[in-house]
Amino acid sequence: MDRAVATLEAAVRGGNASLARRQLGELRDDADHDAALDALARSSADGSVLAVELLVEAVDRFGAARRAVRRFLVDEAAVDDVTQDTLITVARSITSFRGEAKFTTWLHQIARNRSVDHLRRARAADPLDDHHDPHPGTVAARMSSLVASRAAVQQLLAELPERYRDAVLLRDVEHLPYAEVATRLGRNVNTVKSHVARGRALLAAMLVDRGLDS
Amino acid sequence: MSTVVPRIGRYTVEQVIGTGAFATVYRAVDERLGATVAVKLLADNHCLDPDIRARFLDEGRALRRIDSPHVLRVYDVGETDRLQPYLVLEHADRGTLAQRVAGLRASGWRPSAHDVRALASGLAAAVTAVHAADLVHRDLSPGNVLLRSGIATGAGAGPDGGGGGLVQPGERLLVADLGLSKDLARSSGLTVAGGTDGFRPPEQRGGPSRVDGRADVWGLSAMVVWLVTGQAPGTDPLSPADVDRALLDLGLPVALRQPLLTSLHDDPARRHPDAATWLAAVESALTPPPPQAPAAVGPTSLRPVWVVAAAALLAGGLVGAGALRLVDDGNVDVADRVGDARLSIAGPTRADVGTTVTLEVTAEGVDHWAWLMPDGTIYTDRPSVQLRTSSAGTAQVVVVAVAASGERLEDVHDLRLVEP
Repeated sequence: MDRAVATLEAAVRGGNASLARRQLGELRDDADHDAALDALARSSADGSVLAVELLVEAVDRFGAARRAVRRFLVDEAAVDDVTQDTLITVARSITSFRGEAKFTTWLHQIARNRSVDHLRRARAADPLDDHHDPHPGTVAARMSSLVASRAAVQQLLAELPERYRDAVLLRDVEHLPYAEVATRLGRNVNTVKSHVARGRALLAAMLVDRGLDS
Repeated sequence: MSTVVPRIGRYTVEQVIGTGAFATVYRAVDERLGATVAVKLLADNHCLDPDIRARFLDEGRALRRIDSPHVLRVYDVGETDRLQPYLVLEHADRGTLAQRVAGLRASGWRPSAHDVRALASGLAAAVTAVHAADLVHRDLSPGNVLLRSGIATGAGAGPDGGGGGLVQPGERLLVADLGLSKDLARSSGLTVAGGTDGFRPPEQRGGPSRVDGRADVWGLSAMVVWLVTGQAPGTDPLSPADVDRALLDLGLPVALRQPLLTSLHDDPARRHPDAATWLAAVESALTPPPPQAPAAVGPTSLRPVWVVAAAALLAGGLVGAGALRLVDDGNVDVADRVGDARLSIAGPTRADVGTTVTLEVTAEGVDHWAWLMPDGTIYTDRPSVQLRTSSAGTAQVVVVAVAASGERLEDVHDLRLVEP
């Protein structure tokens, strides 16, 4: 396990994205996943753009954010929303990760805060107003409207990995439903949802990077 | 006052069956499956607190991991429009053990050995299942143990399940509330209102400390002590004399005192290691020893297993330090000790040929012992033996036992026989 994580770290340092992804794909158990997340979070905090991208992917793919959110929330739509908010917050504030705690502990705290935001919002909101995606007031909704309304943010799209760029573009700029985005890209709906969530998270990280985050 | 909620999710609420600081439990009907269930709803004023929500949902997940007819089952988890999470649970239609015992006591009932056995075996099965799921209950108490009818398996339905007892035939004990209310109280900074005071093991009373399955082993004996004496042992240090008195008063074997005191030890390392070991000790203490007979009659009423055990002890033991001992004149009392356990033979070390010698054992901290007579006869659990002497020489009588810790004790008594 230690060797796999060491190889992963070396690949990130050397900018070898495909080797790093292959390495991530070979990790099987939770302990391995946690160690990989710790390594990626440290590299991200040190300023590696590739590490942030891999971290967002890994947190999403390992289901770490969703699992953390499920500790607090029951409703499926709420879990979806808050998982996405958590992913965005991770991407946006990873530079403040100190590496003293485990990454999953840090993630858990973010999931907890985003869950609290959701619960307060949901208590205040009309429960029947349920057809927005993402739900108004969420971090994801804010990112979505930033992409839609600011040319500067749309320019950043060009820097996203391709599979995330197309998904975010169709969803947040062209405002297509997920099903339509999925058809256009020849991917299934869940994959598209995941790609949009990761793309928004990476954009959020870029905004922080460029000092464009409000 | 509690507001009656007509529906929780798809469950039709009938009535409130329990209230606590954090949750209310309703009896409800699942109309799709035509079943009565219990719905535990997190209180409205706590449902925005993420830590309380997490603890509440954790209980559902914990219950889901446990597979036992003696632990309350969880069927579903959901959330109301008001964002209150709820657990859908097995409904225990016969109420709590606290209610059952209060009712029985009011009608003059006193616990029998069968009642103790029913409680001990049901609780031990539950605790074993909880521990098998890597969980510690930490809150065994009469209000957290429930009774349910309808399924004829379980502690109460044993072959000797007479009527009028604690657990009726066809009923079973169910352990509920996985330490939840206590943990919830801690996360909100509140203290728990009474009820389980006195049922908390010593390691959970002070500041933060490591708690493991042996906290529940403490809790098992706390429940039996409560059944027998009517009082929880945790409020005051339990006096062994109090337990003895209660056992004698109820006509229960005083031997039960030992497993109870062992598992109520303040130091978890001194308790039984797990629920199964505890139950074995309790059941063995409840099994009456064979009737006593004069030693000369011979070994007619031995329990074969114990004889084998005693023989094995001898094979491993007599070669050791106890085998050679100087014979002294007069009465000696050399004891063997392991921890709290003590074993010693008292009696003359010198006697005239033709007389009958009586030897007595003092056994503390052991449930059973065996006498090994000079002619190879083995007697179990007798407080004393008699030796009829026929020729001059030395005779050796050995008593062996196994302490609760598993260590072997033995005392060797040498008797010099002289011509008068």
